[in-house]
Amino acid sequence: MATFLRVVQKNRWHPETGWNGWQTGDIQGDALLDLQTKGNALSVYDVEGGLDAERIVVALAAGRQFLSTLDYVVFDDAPLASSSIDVVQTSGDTPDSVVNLVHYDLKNLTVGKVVRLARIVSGNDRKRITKAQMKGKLKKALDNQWLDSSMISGDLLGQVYKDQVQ
Amino acid sequence: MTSTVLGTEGGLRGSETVQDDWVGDLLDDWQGFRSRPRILVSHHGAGTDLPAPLVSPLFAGHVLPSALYYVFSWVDPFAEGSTGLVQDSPQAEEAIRDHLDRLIALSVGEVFFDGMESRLSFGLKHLLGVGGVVTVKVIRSLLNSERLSAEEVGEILRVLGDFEDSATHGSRLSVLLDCLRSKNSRVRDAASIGIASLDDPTALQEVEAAVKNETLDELRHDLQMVVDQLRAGLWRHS
Repeated sequence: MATFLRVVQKNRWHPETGWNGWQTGDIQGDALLDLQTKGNALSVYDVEGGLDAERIVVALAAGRQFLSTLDYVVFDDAPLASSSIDVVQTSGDTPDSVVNLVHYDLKNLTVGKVVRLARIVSGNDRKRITKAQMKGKLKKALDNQWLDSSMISGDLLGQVYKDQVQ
Repeated sequence: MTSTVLGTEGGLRGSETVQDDWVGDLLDDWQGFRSRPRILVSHHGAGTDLPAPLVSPLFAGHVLPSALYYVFSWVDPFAEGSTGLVQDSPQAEEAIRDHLDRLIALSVGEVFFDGMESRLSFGLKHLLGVGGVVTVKVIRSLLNSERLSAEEVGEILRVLGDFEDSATHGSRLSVLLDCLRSKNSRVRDAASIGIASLDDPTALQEVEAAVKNETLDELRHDLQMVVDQLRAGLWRHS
């Protein structure tokens, strides 16, 4: 049993759009931008592996160029098995080596499986860490030496350590 | 051949005149820069008057207008006071609109990610840097035209929130607050992210009103987080 985390953009998953013809349960087409496969695989992190979601999201934020809001979704792996989605553990590439240990690939994804995955993501709450919150969390992660600062962009480090209160 | 230096305002560090043929190579070199310089471009061909300085929205040589010679200057993008080199005039507005249109056209198909530079965000920052409030004015008119996708609007609003410049702060905030009243929930959300980035407590009342009017639970919750942040800012400043 695992619970996976993936970064998304919340507003691509808004359940109402105000469009003509929109029906309850519809998912915006742009939501697929959050599920773009590379080599027919998608990257996720296991939050049941002893790490909380926040540490994983902060590690992912540390891999970005700039300080920003980050949205994410957490979902159970049970529906993946029933959708015949293969899950394989591989090493992650965030600046947090501990987080990298709980990285998985959802592999051999077909269009049908990606659509089923979209339904799974859509059925779960999306959460947000704001830019201001992220600044404090990144600072804490750096202070705790969870992050390899040599893997973090200079722009992002500059923003984290800028004295101005965000 | 004529050449010119664009001026010494703001953090202007230097300039270079190159022949048309060399532009591609020069731009290729600049792509490798870690801290990418803002490039001002003044272009002029034989028999034409030198127009007001324009900014190259992208590095790609093909987006530049054809001309015999280009004059490049580079500006420290983080230098306070380096914005607004273009004076507000119908010609400047037209030039910026033209560049913005090209930028949007070149950004079609781009996927935008939080915290990552896109061609659109990079070009917009440069246009804001050179055009200042004139660029914000053009952006407002573009947003009102409703011809952009929610993805593009979202990226533009994020840039308006992230761009650090006191001269355009008020006009950028005003655009973001207008977008809080959009019919499109994605635009309202992107506006809230931009407002949170600006972190200006004077926006508090309008964001509080947006919370009251918001029909989407998820978005109301996120707007409330912005309200909490702005209130905390008020307390810090009081």
